[in-house]
Amino acid sequence: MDPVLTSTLADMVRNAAPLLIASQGELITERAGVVNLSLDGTILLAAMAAFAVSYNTGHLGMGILAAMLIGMLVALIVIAASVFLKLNQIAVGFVLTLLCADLSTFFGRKYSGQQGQEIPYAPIPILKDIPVIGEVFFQHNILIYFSFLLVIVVWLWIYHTRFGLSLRSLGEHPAAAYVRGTRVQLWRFVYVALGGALVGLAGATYSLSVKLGWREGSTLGNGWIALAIVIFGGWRPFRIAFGAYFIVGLRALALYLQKEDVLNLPIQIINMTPWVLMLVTLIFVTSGLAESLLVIVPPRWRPAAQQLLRVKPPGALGSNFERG
Amino acid sequence: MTAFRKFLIQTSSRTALGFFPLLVGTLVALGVIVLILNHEHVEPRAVYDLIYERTLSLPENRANVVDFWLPILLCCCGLLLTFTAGLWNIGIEGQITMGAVGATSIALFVKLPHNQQILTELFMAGAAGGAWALFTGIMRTRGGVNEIFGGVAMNFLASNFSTYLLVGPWSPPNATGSATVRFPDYSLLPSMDKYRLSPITIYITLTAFIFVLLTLSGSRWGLQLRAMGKNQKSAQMLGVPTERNIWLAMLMCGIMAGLAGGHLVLFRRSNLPANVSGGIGFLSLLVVLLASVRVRWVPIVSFAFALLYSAGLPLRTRLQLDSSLVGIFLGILVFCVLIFDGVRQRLQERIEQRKLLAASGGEKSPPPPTIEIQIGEEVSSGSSSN
Amino acid sequence: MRLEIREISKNFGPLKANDHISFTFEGGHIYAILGENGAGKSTLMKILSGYQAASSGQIVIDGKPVQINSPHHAIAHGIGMLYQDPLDFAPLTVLENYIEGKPFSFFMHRRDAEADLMARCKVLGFSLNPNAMVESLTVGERQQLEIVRLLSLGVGILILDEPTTGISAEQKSQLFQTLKNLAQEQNMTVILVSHKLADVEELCDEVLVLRRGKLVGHRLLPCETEIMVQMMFGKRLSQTSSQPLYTEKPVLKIHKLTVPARLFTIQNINLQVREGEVIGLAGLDGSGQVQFMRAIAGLGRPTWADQLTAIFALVGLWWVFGKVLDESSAVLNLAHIAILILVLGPLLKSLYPFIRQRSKQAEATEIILHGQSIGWRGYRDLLGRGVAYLAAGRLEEGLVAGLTLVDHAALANRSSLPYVNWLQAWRRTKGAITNFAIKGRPFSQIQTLSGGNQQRVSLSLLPDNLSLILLENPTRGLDVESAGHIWSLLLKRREQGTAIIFSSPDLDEVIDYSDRILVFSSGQTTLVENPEQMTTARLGELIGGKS
Repeated sequence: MDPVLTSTLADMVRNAAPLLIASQGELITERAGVVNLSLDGTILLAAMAAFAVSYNTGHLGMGILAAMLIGMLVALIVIAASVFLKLNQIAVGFVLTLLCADLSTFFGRKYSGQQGQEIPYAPIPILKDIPVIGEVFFQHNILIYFSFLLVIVVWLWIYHTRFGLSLRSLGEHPAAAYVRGTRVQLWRFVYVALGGALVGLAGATYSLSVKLGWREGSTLGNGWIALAIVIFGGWRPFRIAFGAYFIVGLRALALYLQKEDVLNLPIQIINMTPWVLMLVTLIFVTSGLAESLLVIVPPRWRPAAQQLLRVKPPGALGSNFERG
Repeated sequence: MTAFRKFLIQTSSRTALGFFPLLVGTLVALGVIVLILNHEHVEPRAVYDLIYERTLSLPENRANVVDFWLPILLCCCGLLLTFTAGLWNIGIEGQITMGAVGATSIALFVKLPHNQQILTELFMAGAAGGAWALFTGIMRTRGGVNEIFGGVAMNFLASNFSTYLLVGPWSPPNATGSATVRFPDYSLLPSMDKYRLSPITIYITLTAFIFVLLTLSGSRWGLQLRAMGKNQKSAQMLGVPTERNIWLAMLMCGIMAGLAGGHLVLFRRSNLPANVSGGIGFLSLLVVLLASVRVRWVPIVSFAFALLYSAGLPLRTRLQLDSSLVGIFLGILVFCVLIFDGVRQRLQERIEQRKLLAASGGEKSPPPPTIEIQIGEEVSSGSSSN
Repeated sequence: MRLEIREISKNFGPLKANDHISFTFEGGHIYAILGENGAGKSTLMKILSGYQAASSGQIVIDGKPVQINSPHHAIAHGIGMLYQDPLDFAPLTVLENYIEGKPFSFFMHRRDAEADLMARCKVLGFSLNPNAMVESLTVGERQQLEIVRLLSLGVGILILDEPTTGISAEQKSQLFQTLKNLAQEQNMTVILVSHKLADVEELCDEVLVLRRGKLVGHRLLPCETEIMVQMMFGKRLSQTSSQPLYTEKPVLKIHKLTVPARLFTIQNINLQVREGEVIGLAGLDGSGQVQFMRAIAGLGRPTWADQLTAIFALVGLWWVFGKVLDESSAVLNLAHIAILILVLGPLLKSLYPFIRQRSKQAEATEIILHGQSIGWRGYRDLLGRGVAYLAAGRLEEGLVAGLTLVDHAALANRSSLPYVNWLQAWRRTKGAITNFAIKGRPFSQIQTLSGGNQQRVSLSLLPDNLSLILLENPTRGLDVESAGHIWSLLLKRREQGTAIIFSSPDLDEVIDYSDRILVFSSGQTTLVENPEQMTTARLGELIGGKS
């Protein structure tokens, strides 16, 4: 296989890692029925914190831990405000987005442009020698491996364990989950905290591996992309992963075309393409247009195709649960 | 703790409770800022002096604050409409940017008699901002794309597009690409003699504010928007043209944001810089959130925000701080107000439940509605109106 | 199992929802609890099923006093509750619904659970497909799933809340047979909460009557219906009788209408509605009655004005985008493609069925109101032409929680003035309150009213001189008295020549008030011309597909 293509694919896997982690985190949160809108700010703040802490302490682990704690804290604020004060999750999430972004700018200004540590390169011994696949997937660092392992773990968790079943049920119909003995609020807190920690980890992945170092607003926009990918992916882990690779692939393709002078487009226009494509895809899928085009599909495969195109949010998304 | 809660419930009346969140929020935000300043070894007094000096000390500075305030107030007016209708117009940043781009496209490349020139520029600013917003609205009702995500996408599209214009077709002959050339004088909004303020913008803002005030306080359309914000399906059943109202509210908001963007390039900057909106759209969202969609509070709150925000820049040069400090202050303030408003609502609910129990002879009735910002739908783009 | 309640009381402030209720439910018997709205039935159920704690009193199961803290706890003690709106997870499969709530294990153990489910279904005679999505089941099947699930959890006391609404006659007799078997063979205690006396007489051994929170009567069945009614209401009820009032003048003609329902698509519905006629729609939940009425009312179709505005707006967008973006042809093209998708998408979507129909049949679908075709108009257009629609969810689709009665009157008043005439709105509200006997003040918020009063407000908001009113389940959640009042208000409307089409899961209601009945059954519709000769049982059979 073409070595340029292989290395491009490997780059894609690397660049998609934070998006993948963040969107899986948000998936868990939203499956529990909570919207954490603060992703964009959280990722920024977590990226800054991961860099600053590892820079100051010299331990990468501490940096990652700090990032995860920050993600968790922000997510817990959203859920606590929603559960105890019945506040609108969107409003709180939005304010936190702005606040976290400002905090990252303010506290990160000393670290801007500094040389920091990087997660060590750690190819996996045997797997790395598989042609193509080895180079694409198994010659990275541990966070990148984690990102695609996470998709599988989340999928297994959601669809094949009892924990996952109750996660789905409490996002779908909390009253029914309560009747069946699920402690709705407790599990919401747990899953939201977990999702938040993953979002924080995504920030750490940026500043410690993918976009090494810290610069003001360096990850701006990626949180929103992650949020949109969750919708695009219809709240299902593998489709979300596909969405993340798709977006990153688009960017890579655009850059490649630019380099090869195939398409003479300025970089800003290329930066716009993922957003435009995302809008077009969202419109296509959510407006029911895609579904009405399903008549082309032979009837036998129609249910499967319908299932594939289905984008139905968890039934209780964004709402409060009150017992009794 | 329970004794304290009882005490609070029994002693607090509606009006006293109303100011409680704002007071506590301000105190907490101030406290955090003082802590941060301590950590940075900067005297709070120095920051205060700097802010005072740059904003209120001299007439020119005061005029500058007002000049900064007007576009924010204009944006807030638009957001009041969309918020009332239950729409989160996060795309307002992009609408401001597009308004600026629209105004620039006329200001740089068209030459007309002065009055017509100004009118065309403002028209194009409003049209571009309005189109950006209307597109988000149509995507929501017809395409099933929630306005939050549609708006965010449109924001990024707008900012990328304006950057592209600056480095590409509109870049000045031998320059870095961070701004266009200065507009010719005939393209700029006229200024007052004494202060650097634009009377046209003042008129526009005043008209917009009075329009929104009247709309939301007594008009049929305002009532319809209010009903839609609370329950869109029911409003439709009662005969409210919900889809058209969504478009109209978005369009209005977009036009106002576009005009604000036009003011930024045609008067404040006299050219189109990169990142022209500079976050005033999000700032306006914060204002409207803080004022809980109460029209009368908006001018005051937005003025206070504008004052602080416009004082942000010198912090970096003079005190080695960063302008984001102001952002942190405002963020914490709004966050705390939201939180304590939630606390207040829960308290009030309890009071009213007690009263209801006592008054109705104990007939069990649902809790009184909470006054909070309504959003039409959860963040899913699954459902579309109509 | 033997369930004993001792001196159960529940107070909400000074209100006594349950006032020292004591009773012993013996195993192997089937009990009915009767009472009007607010009699304390639902409070007692909530206490037994663990949703609320009693203010005082004791619950004793098999001689042991127990403390029930949550619904799950109640199941652990052997009390299972079947709720009226099934508490299950629609987008999950039957099997997943069955597994959720079982004692915990880390993995799902699908195969074991499936075998278990199938075995239990076989014993009870239910046929459930474990891999079907719950949203594709009928209400009756969802009930069966819930019963199997509760039994698998070792429930010995089964409480059923209005289990016969929305299920077919066949499913009902199957349910009753199952319950009788369970009581006899497994010594289960079955408690039925219902207001349908016929069901109670058919199924139960003993009946308890609650009134104002007190247990006022206990009878062994069979006993006379009159006695039960008198115990429930403390007086005799006069039945609202409905005399036919229709003329021969047609209001609405429906020709070959095709409606997609949840499970089937119903082809070729033909119906002619005359002035002053009442048409009842009967059928299982989700058989297409609602979709049928919504298709007539034009809900989900954009109005003509909105379509025009959309086209106008999109042309405007095209122009502005062209003006602003003409610096970059690539962006312009993308924007234009996006706009094209937005314009053409919905257009194609709405044109598609039309085209398909044209190509297949010589005559197209037509809905004709007073001689004019209305099949392409939206709801707001039709509201102006005298068609009104009341949905079942009053606070979801109909009234706006948080607005006052006066606000509603102002909203519903169709006028072209830019401002609101509050004085007029206030007067209208005042008038409505007296005319419709609404218990509420003009400035009280709508959600503080009771269900019956909310429904009255909805009726009062309808414009005068309507040609057609469409109602989904008009008496949902109302007791007999409120329901009677709502119906007398509705029937009065016929005097102006208004035709009424309504759907209801309550077959008695359909038979009592309809001049003709349209039965929806698995993708077919049948018109019943003379409901006076109809019995509930026969109608139930029709719904179930027996002809």
